[in-house]
Amino acid sequence: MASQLNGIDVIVIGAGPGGLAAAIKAKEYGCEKVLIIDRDSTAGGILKQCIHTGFGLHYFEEDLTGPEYAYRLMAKAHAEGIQIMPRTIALNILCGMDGLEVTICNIKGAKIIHPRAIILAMGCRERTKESLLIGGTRPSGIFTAGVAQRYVNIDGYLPGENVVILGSGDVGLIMARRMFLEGARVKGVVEVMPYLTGLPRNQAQCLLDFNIPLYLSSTVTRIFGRERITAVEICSVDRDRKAIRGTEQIMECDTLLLATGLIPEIEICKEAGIERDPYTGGILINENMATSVPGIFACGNVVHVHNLADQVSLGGEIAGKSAAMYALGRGFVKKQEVHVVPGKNVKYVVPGSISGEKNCVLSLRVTEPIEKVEVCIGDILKKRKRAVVPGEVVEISLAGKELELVKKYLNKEMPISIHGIRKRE
Amino acid sequence: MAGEFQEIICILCPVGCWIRVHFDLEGQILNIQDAQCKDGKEFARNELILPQRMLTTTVSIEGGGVLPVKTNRPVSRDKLLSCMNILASLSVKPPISFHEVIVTNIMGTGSDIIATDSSCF
Repeated sequence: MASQLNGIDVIVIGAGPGGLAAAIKAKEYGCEKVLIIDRDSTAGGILKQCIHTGFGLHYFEEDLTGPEYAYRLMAKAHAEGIQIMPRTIALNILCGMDGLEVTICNIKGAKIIHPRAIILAMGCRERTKESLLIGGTRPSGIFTAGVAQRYVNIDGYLPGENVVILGSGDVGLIMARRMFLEGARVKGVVEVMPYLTGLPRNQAQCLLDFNIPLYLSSTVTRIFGRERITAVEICSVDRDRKAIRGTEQIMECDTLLLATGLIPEIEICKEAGIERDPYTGGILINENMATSVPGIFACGNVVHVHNLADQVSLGGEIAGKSAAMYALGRGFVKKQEVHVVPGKNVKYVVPGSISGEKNCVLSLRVTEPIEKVEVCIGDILKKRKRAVVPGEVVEISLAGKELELVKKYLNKEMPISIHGIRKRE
Repeated sequence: MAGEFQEIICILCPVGCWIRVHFDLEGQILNIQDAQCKDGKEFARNELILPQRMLTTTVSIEGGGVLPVKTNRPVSRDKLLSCMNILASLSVKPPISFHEVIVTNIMGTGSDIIATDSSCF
């Protein structure tokens, strides 16, 4: 392992769409030695198992599958001479007197690296059944949707033949189609909210195309089965998401897929003192993708859960440029900041702070579907939209004279709010 | 407006416009509304005549694992399952290069099945 790990300018943790794009940019901005580590056997991250199309429409101006998107980035990384170490994990990160320290580990052993800068691109993990209080037994046949996707698309296993899916986010919808095409019977997608949480196009091409039923305002309240799951109990829920007694129905199945949420993979940040954004659950960043620790940057789903890999890669580019500037000693002088916070009807907004000195883009998610939307910065109307839903990341660009408005909030909180009409179903 | 309309969701990009297609009483398309781009308008027009979809799936690799593949153009939606059946009986032998053709003109659709990743020994 020895000499290739000395004199690292930037280490990138995660070789997915964020990490690869970030590493490529760091190289382009003048870093000589850029290393990416990834826990999987090949680079590409989650893209490898996302064999469906819809990637690259913005980033490559082409409609690509996940593996094709990964292939393009990996080819570029290879051409730039970026070193990628697969089957390698980061054990911890420390910010000591001598600078940044990353302990990495693979089959050859553990090693401490002293990079000039770090980019965190670990992505996210799935919410598991343990955090969803479903009564009944604990048989086999229950998988998170992403795990099932990996079994099917990487390992070549069919997890089951009679499937119920809990959660109507894109991962759940995509797996509904995938399981159906592979010959399974998909009994339905069950969603606790009164609306689809994934993209409408996926309702069309994953459910409507194959007559797969969608049960809104419903949830799984019980699991049956001894060794293998045999059925679930589905129940309607009220506006407070409480089960309505008397609406129970039993749905036989041999497989339950859980697509109930993604959680940024921030475990490694705790010891390093890297601050978490309480609204996103991910790493707190500013407009340069810098974290609260100098020299450490972050991008992708570890910051907030994006809709598109394209958005992840674009954020990765900013992180890569910022990390390169820092590594080459052209870092940023600490400036006064505006703290961007979610206001009415906004679940979260990133980045968490901006300087008001350069153009930037704010990304936000709403708490519920809203029509006749007015996006406001403080009291000032910034943008109108016909409708927004929680499943969609809304982008607001701030440029030129608008930054004068932002500067009024220096050292203060600038709330971003959404006014409008709550959508009726 | 006389006649009927049908609403479809465009699947071409993540915006997913709800497009309204108006017909006259003979079933001729009169007007296409609410598409934000011309590709969407074209999609809506075709969707009501012959729905087409890209097929993305995997094929077995000899020796273990699977290789992701896709159709290189959309195929008729009602041929998806029969294409899946053909691919289920196949097994490819590595090495396979990126975008290598695995099946030519599958089911007479005019679309090939190509690899979306490479596979080494």
